[in-house]
Amino acid sequence: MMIAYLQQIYSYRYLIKTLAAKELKIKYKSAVLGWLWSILNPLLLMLIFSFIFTYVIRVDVEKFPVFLLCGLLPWFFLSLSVTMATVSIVDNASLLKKTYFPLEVIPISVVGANFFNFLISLILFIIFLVCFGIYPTMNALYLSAVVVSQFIFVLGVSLVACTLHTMFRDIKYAVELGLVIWFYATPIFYPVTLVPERFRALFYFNPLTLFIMFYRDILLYKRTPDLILLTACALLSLTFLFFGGYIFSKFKKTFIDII
Amino acid sequence: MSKNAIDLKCISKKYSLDVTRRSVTKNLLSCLKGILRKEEVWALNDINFSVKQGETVGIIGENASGKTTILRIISGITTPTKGEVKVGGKVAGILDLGAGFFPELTGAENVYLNASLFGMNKKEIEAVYDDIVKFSGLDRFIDAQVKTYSQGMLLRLGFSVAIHVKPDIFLIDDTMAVGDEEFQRKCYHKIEQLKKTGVTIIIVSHDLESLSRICDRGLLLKSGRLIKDDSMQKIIVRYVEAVGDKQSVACIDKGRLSLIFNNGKIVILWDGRPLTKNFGGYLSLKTTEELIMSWRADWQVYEADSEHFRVEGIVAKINARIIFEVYAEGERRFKWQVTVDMPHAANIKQLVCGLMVSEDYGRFLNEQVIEELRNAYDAPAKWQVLYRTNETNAPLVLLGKDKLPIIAAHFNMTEAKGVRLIQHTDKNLDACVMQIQLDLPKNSLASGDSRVAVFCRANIELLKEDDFRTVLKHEKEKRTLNANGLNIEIKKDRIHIFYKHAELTKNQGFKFGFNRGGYFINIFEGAWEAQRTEIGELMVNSNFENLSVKLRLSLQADPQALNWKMSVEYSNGQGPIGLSANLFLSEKFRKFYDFGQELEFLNFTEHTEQVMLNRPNTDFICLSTDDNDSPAVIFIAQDDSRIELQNTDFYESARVLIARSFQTNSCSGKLILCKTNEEKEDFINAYQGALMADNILSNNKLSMELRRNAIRVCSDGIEITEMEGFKSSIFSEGRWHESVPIIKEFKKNGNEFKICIKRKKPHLNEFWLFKLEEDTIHWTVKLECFDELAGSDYKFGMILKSDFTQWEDSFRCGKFVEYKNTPYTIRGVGLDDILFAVKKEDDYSDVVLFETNDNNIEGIMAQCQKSGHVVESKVQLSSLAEKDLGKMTKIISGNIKFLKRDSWAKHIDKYRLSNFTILPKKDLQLFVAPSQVRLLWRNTKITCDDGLRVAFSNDEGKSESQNNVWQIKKICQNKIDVELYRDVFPVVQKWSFESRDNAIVWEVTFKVEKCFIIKEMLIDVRLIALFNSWFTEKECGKVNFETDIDKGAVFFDHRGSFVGANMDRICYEQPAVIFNLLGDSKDWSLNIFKHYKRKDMVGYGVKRIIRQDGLVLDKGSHDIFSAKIILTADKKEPILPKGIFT
Repeated sequence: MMIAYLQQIYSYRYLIKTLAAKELKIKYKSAVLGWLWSILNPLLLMLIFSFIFTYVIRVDVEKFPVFLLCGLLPWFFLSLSVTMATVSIVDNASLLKKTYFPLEVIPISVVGANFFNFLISLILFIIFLVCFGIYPTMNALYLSAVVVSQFIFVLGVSLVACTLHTMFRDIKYAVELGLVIWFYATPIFYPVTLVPERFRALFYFNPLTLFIMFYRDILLYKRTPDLILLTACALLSLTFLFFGGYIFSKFKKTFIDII
Repeated sequence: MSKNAIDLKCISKKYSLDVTRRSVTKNLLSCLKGILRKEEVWALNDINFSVKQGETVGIIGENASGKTTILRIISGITTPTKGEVKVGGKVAGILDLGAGFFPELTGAENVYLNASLFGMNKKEIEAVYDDIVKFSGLDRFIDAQVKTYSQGMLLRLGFSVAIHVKPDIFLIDDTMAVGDEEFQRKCYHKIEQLKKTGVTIIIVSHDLESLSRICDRGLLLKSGRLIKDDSMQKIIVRYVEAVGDKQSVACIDKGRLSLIFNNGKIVILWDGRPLTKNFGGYLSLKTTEELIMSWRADWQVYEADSEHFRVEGIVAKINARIIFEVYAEGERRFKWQVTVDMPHAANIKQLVCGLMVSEDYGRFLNEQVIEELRNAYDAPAKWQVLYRTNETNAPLVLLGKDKLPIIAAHFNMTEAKGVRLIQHTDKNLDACVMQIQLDLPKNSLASGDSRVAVFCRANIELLKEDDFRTVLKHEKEKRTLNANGLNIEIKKDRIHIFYKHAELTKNQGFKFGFNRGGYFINIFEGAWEAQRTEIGELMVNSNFENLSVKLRLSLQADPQALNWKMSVEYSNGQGPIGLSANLFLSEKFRKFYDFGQELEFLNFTEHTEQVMLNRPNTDFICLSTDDNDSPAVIFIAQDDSRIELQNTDFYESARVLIARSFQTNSCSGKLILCKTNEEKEDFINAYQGALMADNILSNNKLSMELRRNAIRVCSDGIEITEMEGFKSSIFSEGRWHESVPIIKEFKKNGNEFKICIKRKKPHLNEFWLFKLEEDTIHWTVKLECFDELAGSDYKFGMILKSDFTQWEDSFRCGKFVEYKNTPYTIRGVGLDDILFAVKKEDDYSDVVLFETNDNNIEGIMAQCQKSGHVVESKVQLSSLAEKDLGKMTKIISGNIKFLKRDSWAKHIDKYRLSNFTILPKKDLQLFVAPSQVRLLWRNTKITCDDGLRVAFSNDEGKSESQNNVWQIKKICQNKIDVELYRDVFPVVQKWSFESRDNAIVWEVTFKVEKCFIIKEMLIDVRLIALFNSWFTEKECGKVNFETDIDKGAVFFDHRGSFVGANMDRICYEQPAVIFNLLGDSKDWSLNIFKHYKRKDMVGYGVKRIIRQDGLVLDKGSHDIFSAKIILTADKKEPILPKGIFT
């Protein structure tokens, strides 16, 4: 049952790809520089952050720009994906009403498009690091595992948000608010050590904290991430995905009638 | 194949209406309340059906009946609330325009995206990509952003993708209407192809015709319920009935025919397939402000049973009532009656009753020829009249495809002018409408009536192919006459004549009409109807506002001929001015037989203009071809009609025979076919000799023969007349009216003919009397006028054969100038004499002398024509007065003599000498003739022909006396007066000659009519060159012809001098001419000059040179300018006539 379900989605992989490509294309379609923006955007971001946090605001954290970007890039991936995926079904109502294909394709392609962007910025970030004199080590191989688990996690979250929003249109606003809280609740621009000891355990329940820790471990501190924690984190992500997929497929039959 | 592709079991679908405001709060609230009080709608209710694989099913229903929901359920887009769906296979289709298209992306990108929406992968898409683009026909636009696409282009692209994804089940929602006709056809063609390959197709559409064509099965939905699942045809019938307000729907079923009236539209269904579209059978009223269509009215069914219904619609706005009555008279025939009852004040301008026919009907009947409708794609979007006829009972016929019955509609509306077939060429509304239109002019309706009723009847037949052919044949028969290879056919507004399948007519055929207000009106412009009567006549009745025209055509066997008769009746006001029949014959008729001789038409070249062959009207003409197989035609006009012959211009290249009637109510004639030359000759002879047997006057020299259209004169057995022989013309209303060469009345009395020629315009009878006497024909013309003609000019004359090439009158002679290739060009050669002779070329042949006895004639003139030369005497009808109207008055008389040349010479000399000669002394004579004054010495000319001349000039021109018009009067035995006028200068000269003893006194006086300037004046006497010496009182000399010419060699230097000239002394028998200028001669000089043409002539003249700036001559100042010259002649030594100088 579930395999057939996955197979069906898999058979639409080309559609997912095309839709994701469409998302990317449309985003910069009318811009003069076109797809260059998907490189320029993270690049400029990195340059601005490093300028500000190196010369303007001094934070007492070692290599703060790198530290910050290690958290910020995964965060952008999550927040953009969730925001866009939330409204994706409702926004594509006209398409969905007229043609038949698995609805999952829509949020998947949205997340996929953002994932692609994230990968580009990650590559740029590594180049950026090299410029800063931080050379990637063999530990960087763990990066793929982290990236994939984060993708699974983001997808799971997106599906949940999307389902809820399609059912109840208020969810969009709740998601927006939730993301703000989540941002601050995640040690992105501060190290987790800054959090008082008694709350710190709570922070580890936030999978994003773990992901950011992994990124920092791998890219900044050049150490092997905690593999047990990484495995646990991947399992958690999968659980999220199953949950998201479950509720999505449970409610998707009614989607067409209510969008 | 029996596997079901789609199974729908107990499907129900519920929608809640407030979806847009779905929110948590509301849900929670309603949950809290414990009642789910959402506004719900069951879009589908317990739907059960299954579709076999390869089946094509159409779904119809009103809006919101659940059609689209079914498609969504089948495609899996949505799931039913209740029930079970089984769909076997890949589903594709287009449920909406632009679905799956992203405006920001290009066409090509969208093709990929759209195809991937149907689950295709890149490889599969690439394989069919080219086909998709090709099918869509959008190659040029494929790289443009889709947001720039039109609806039609979106459809093209969407459809192209959908059919190329190789679906098992293909769904189409009512989107096709957007495409243009060409693409729609392509789509339907593709659908048919898909159908053949076993694809299951489900179509939702409102386009009933397309559905009926494509679908095997139909589903009728109403409010979410499946009402009927049956064959498409039956479904359509049910659907048309079911749509709209039930109260105003009526329906007749008669075998395969169903007629459904639904709120102002009549739908015709054949086997459930609609033959009409959009408007169906409708009525439209055009007021001054708007167009009111019948379906805007409020309709009520009053009577309805299995065979007929009667419905009434009220148009409240203009307080009009429309009544439709439909009677089915069988499976293939029904009657539709429309009555419009409206107030007079409604200001209805136009009423149209029409039938909009399905586009399955692509051909129409145009005058027995089946033609295709126009391709809507080629033409601009507008209403175009394909076919229009004024014929009142002509059916409009449309032919469909797929063995659809042929629709033949007979519309009939009182007062309506005709019916027409209109095609609207537009992508969105491509339709063909059969309609009848009635224009209501504002004042045409009786103003007293407050209400007006208009009736329209339509008999509509649905014919089988065979029946149609029969009808066609019947219609054709109704308009043709056929016998022995001669075939007369009315086509549209033309009558064509065929002989053995070759058309004799051309272009406009045989055209009948009348003249009203200066315009030719073809009888087919009225409301006409053609019909073959029981006695085998073809009858055309045409009605105009206040007149009706009847044309009868019938064939006759021996001789084979077409008889025609047109008659007109008119009720009030003025009738037509003249009727005419115009026969346009093919250019292969190259010759025409005319008054006994055969002439050829000019060949058509690009420069040929329409030529009215300027010949007298006749009632008979024969045209023949070079080709022996083609018959010659003889055109005869009866009823006092006359024939004119024309050659058209190059572009038309036809011969036109026009029979014009001077009567206003009838015009008739015959067209006879002569198959052989003998037949033609026989006929011509028979026709021309058709008068009486006793039509010849003859003696041993002359004979005169009366024919029907000519008078022939033979001298010594040789015919000398041409064409009609004799003719007369009368000048009236600014033009010459030629006589009509048709002799209807004649009387032979001994050696006399009395012929009566009756003219209609101007109204008069001419009586020509001919009396034969030895070598002379005496003729007298008497007129009986009924129109005021006093003062008009009249000419009577004869037409001589062209071999009379020379002419001569009392004073002149010359040759006829023939202008080749310019037929009937007229050259006048004189209008002076009462005596005119026409001679043949050689010196021994005949001379015809034409003389007029009367003194009142203006003269005799001759004209050169292509065939024959006309010699005629002209007279002013001054003797006619008002009191003479209706009385016979003698006008002119004369003789025609046939002489040998020598007797003519004697005759003319005798004539001349006896008339204008004065003899001062026996030896010297003065001979005066118009433009010629000569001196003779013992009967021998000593001057040239125009021996005495006066010339004067100024800067503007020169006047020479020989160019003036002369009027000679012999006052008494020794005095002749001549008046010269019509000069370039406003001067009338008066010459008077008087004989005194042995001299002639020549006195020239001028009467100046208007002030003008004169610069030089010359009076001269042109002597023959034998006069080669001169002398004055003091000197004498010899003329040196080399040096003295034009030099003013001798000058008068004193008063009273005289000059003379005499001949060479060697010839003592010759006289000297003494030239003596009387009066003040100081301005004058003697001039010696040579004749401008003849070297043997020498001129002696007195010349008065006037001051450089000229002399102004005032009106009435004549004395200054007068001169008196004495001419005397004597033998040898000149003796000065002393006695005469004072």
